[in-house]
Amino acid sequence: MKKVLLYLLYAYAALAIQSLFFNGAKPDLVLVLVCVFALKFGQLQGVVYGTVAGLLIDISGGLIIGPNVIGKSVAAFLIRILRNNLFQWNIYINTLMIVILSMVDIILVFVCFEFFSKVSFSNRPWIIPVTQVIYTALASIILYGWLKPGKDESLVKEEGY
Amino acid sequence: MRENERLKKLLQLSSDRSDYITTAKVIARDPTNWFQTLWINKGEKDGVVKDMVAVASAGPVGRVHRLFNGGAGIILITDVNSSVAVRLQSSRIEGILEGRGDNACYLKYISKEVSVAVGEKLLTSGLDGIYPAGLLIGYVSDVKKEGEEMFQEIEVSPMQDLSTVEEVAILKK
Repeated sequence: MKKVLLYLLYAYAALAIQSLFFNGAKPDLVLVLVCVFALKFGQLQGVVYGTVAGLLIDISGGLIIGPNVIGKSVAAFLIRILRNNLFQWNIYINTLMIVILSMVDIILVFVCFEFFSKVSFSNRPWIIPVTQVIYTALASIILYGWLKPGKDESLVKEEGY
Repeated sequence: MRENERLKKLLQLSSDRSDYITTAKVIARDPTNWFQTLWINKGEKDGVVKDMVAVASAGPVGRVHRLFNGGAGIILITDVNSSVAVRLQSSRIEGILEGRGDNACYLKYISKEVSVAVGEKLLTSGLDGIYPAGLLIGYVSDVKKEGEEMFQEIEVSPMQDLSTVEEVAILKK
């Protein structure tokens, strides 16, 4: 419970940092946190955290609830599957996965807004999501050493170490 | 000193304009890349109504798109879902200013025959029925006439730096 609350606090801080310090395209720091959480604490917990973090973003947006809930929970689900099928995890693999999942998240959120809301982002220039993905990748590199996503705490707990 | 100057300009606006409703403080911004919105601390109980225009010390910033009793959401002119009827200051040619989704806008439907210079100013035309006419809203920052499109690609920078807005004046539409 403590770790969930701590990471929710991180998500809240991440949203504040994104809105205050970035003019124009912003990194998706919440996505990085969701992926780290899923890697460290397991798939189910990661999906739950992704759902709650996505809900936080959708509520702050004030439009429909769901796009970021779906985007972040799918990212948590997928990164754990990828982790379970790879022998090792390092900063390069982590960054590559974050880049891929960032694109998946953007596509899912875009589709949700196009089909379920009255707003349209089809005229948005492509440079904005590309810049977002690049910034998110940089953020994941910077946060890798601090958050240590390679250390699978769920596995350690399950095996009783 | 800067805050003083900003607030003085807003105060001047309140005395100069008959369509002035209230002044509000910006309390939050959208933290994602999808929307360009601000949240203010004045709402329905303060006389704010949907589609009223928000103006800062240097120019218009957007219009009210969500309304609550004690607060409101402003959709900025740089949001992809924002459109403002404008005209070029020198040639008086009309166009539509659409948000780009980051910190700039596009001026649409200006024919390639029209000469548009970088630095040229844009005013609101009032033809959309939302933004009052004559507000200095932006300036041309880039012009492209390439390709087979009928219209020019004109990039516009807002007069007001939208990342530094702290207070806005709300005007009647």
